[in-house]
This record gives sequence, structure tokens and C-alpha cells, in this order.
Amino acid sequence: MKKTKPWITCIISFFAVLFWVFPAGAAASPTEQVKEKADKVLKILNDPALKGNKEKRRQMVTNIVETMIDWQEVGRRALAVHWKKRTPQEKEEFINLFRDLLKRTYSEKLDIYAGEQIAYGSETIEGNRAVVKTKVINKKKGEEYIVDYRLIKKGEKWLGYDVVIEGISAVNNYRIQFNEVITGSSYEALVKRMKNREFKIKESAKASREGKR
Amino acid sequence: MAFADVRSVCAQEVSEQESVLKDAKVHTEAGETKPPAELSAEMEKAGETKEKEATAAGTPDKTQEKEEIGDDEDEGEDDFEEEMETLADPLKPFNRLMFEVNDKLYFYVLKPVALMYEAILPEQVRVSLRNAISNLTTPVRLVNCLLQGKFEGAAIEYSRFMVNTVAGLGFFDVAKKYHNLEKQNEDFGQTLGHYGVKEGFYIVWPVFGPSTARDTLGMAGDFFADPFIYVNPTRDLGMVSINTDIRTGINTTKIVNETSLTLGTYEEFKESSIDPYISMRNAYFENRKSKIKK
Repeated sequence: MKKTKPWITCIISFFAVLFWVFPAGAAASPTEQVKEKADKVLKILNDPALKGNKEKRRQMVTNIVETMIDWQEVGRRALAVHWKKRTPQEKEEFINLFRDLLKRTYSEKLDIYAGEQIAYGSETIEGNRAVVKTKVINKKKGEEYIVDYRLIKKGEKWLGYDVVIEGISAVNNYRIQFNEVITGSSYEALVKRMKNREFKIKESAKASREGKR
Repeated sequence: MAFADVRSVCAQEVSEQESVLKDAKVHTEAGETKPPAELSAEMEKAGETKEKEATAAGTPDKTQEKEEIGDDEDEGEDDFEEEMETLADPLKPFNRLMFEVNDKLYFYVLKPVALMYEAILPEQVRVSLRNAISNLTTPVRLVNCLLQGKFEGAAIEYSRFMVNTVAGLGFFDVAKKYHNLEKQNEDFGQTLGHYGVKEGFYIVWPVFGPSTARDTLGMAGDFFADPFIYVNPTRDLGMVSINTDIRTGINTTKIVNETSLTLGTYEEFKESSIDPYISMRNAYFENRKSKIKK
């Protein structure tokens, strides 16, 4: 009995250390990770203290959302079969262009989402991919939209690479547009169009800020 | 044309992996685009030589922690094959023209009217009107639920109609709020799709907007399911006598009302697109597909 006691203590402390270092559920589930970020964003949009400062809100939300996305994956899927043909520099340029385009387009309209609530539905995990189903609800207008987030696992984090709204995949939508331009004209033409579009959005954002709208 | 080019490019890129991809297509057609683990392992082996070249050539710097690119790029391949399904668009020049026509109609006719309308009626009134109009279009949804064998859906639509008309006077969606009865969005185009009718070619109608060969047939079918055309019939359509005045009135109000409640959506949509015509075509296609699946 005396001989086994220290042996048992050894084993117990070994497992105790194991659980200490690797607590059960160390990796938050995809839904939890999405929820955490989404809640942060909604909090900023509804924050009375930031009410007058649209620019700051935009900046803060963009910072959060940027960290939730796997831009490499997004870029690769958006170009699809054309991705492989791009040089590393072109790939980087494309990802930056696309990212800026999306940022500019969506960050201007953020305040619409302020009054809305998100209901989280089921979560499906298959290997290193996951889908988190949510519903965005606008109680006042009685409108509901089904929004699914598609995530990929990078280490401990689940990063988004696509959002499917009412059955429409955003990345697919862009992919088909990009494909049309590339096969109709050329990749260079696409880059030019993206730069042009970004410029136009910048201009109209500036104009609305200066109250010219 | 463009579609054919894409196909040949696809064929070149994945010639070695064709058989594996066919399997992947079958597996992923269930709706999810994530390939099962075994397939990705197979593909990894098949594509490894190609991938080695690509990755050796030098990958762009990544600032976030990353796994093997090899895995992802291979898994991605069959995604691209499967999702390249696009709507046939043989009438593209005509469609693009109609898209422009509708665009101008929106900015020069619909939007100004909707803005005035918005200024006159408070939002809650317009939301209530939306509910009332939705209530009136129950027959179409109910009939199509039945046609698809969705008896529960038909029962829900019937209950919604009763509850909303009696308790909500048609203006309030009491059924949704207190009984959680959701609107079953069905139409004849979806019924046709449910029974396997393919969408056919894409067509953009002036005023009515994007549609497909099948959905246009659907619109025609739903026309005859609208009880209002049988009220005070004046015109003779062979076997049937109809009057489209009430229907036209309701539809016009519906369109103006909806637009006033969703002002800015179309503009945002255009701004976020590189090619709005293509974006709309694809959005329409994917949305219809997902509706039919439900």
C-alpha cells in the first residue's frame, strides 16, 4: 500500500498538469468565435459614445472584421482557375485590391446593421472546414435573412472565407464576375477595373462625406 | 463563348485529376462544397507533383499562421469544378440591354416614385401594407406547396392566412409573431424546378427583371392561380375569362411599396459589383437554386 501511494500521486499529478496545460475545450467552436467577433462589432455600432464619430466606428469595425477573414483563401477562390497562373506578386496585388474593394464597399454602409440582431443556428464541421448558420433579424421591419459563414481552421482560429446570404455565395458571385472579365478581356483588364471601381467608391464616399449627395 | 474558354482552361488544368473530380462531384452535389477527407487525400497525391512546382516557385509572404498550401489548393480544385455551374446565357446581348433598360427605369421612374411614397407614408404603415399584400398572395404559395407535396407548408400558409386576416386584419403578421408560422415562399417556377425541370436560359425581361425560361413559365402559371383575375371578368382567353385590373393595381403597389422599404439596396448592389449584370445573373441563379432545395 505504501509503495503504490506515491505511484498513484504521480499519475494523478501527471493528469492534473495535462489538464492544466491543455484545458478541455481550449479551442472555441466556430460558432463561438464568430459570435465573439460579431458581438464586438454590433457593440461598436450601437455604442452611444461613438454615435457622432462615423469614421472611428468604421475603423474599429474594419479592424475586427479583417482579422476574421482568411484573405489568402478568399483571393484564391475568387480567381479560381486563374489563380495558378498568377505570379506571387500578382497574387499579392490581387488580394490587396480585392480586400480594399470589399472594405470600401461595405464599410461605408455599416450603420444599417446597427439595429439588427443575429440568431445563431446549427454548426457543421467537416475536417478543417465549418459552416455556421445564422439569421440576421430586423425586428422593426419584420425582415429576416439567412446568412451562413464558411470557415476554415488555421491553427486554433476559425477564419471566414465565404459568406452565403439567402443561398448566394459572395465569393462565387465575385468569382463569376472576375471570370467573365478575365476570359472576355484579360487579367490586366480586371485589375484595371478593380482599381477604377475602388477609385469611384472613394470619390462617392468623399462626396457624401462632404454632403454633396 | 466565354463559357467554352473557361471549360477548356479547366480541362487543361485538371486533366490528370478528372476521374477523381467526377467522384468529388457526386459527393459534393448534396449541397455542401466541402470534400470528404479521403478525397482530399487522394487528390493531394494526384496533384502533388503539380503543387510542388507551384509552391517551389515561391509563394507570397503570409503573415498569419498557415498549414500546408498543398492541402488547400488540392481540396480547392474540385470545389472549382463543381461550382463552375453557371446559367446558360445565349441571349446575353439582349439581356445586357434589358438590364440597362431596367436600370434606367429604376433611377428615372421607380425610385422617384418610391421616394415620394416614402415621404408620405411612415415606415410602419408601409410594413403593414407589405403584410397585407403578402396575405393577398397566399393562394399562389398555397397551391404551389400542394403541387410540390409540401402538405405541412400548405397547412402553414392556410393557417397564416386565417390568423393574419382575423387577428391581424391582414396588416399584421400575427401568425409569425405569436405562432412562429413562417411564410412558405413557393411559386410555380420552384414547383417546376422541384420536379426536375431545368432552368433553361437566362432572360432579363424589361420591368419584370431577371428570370429564366422555366421561371417565366412559372410566372405564367402563377398568373392563372391568382384569384383576382377571376373577379369581374371582362376579357376572354378562350377557356377562361379574366380581368387583370385588380392584379395590376396590387402588383404596382407591391413594387413601389417594396422599393420604398428597401431603398439603397440596388445602389449598394451595383457599387459592390465589378460587373453588376453578371452579379445579378449569378445571384438570381443561386438564390433560386437554394429556394428550390428548401
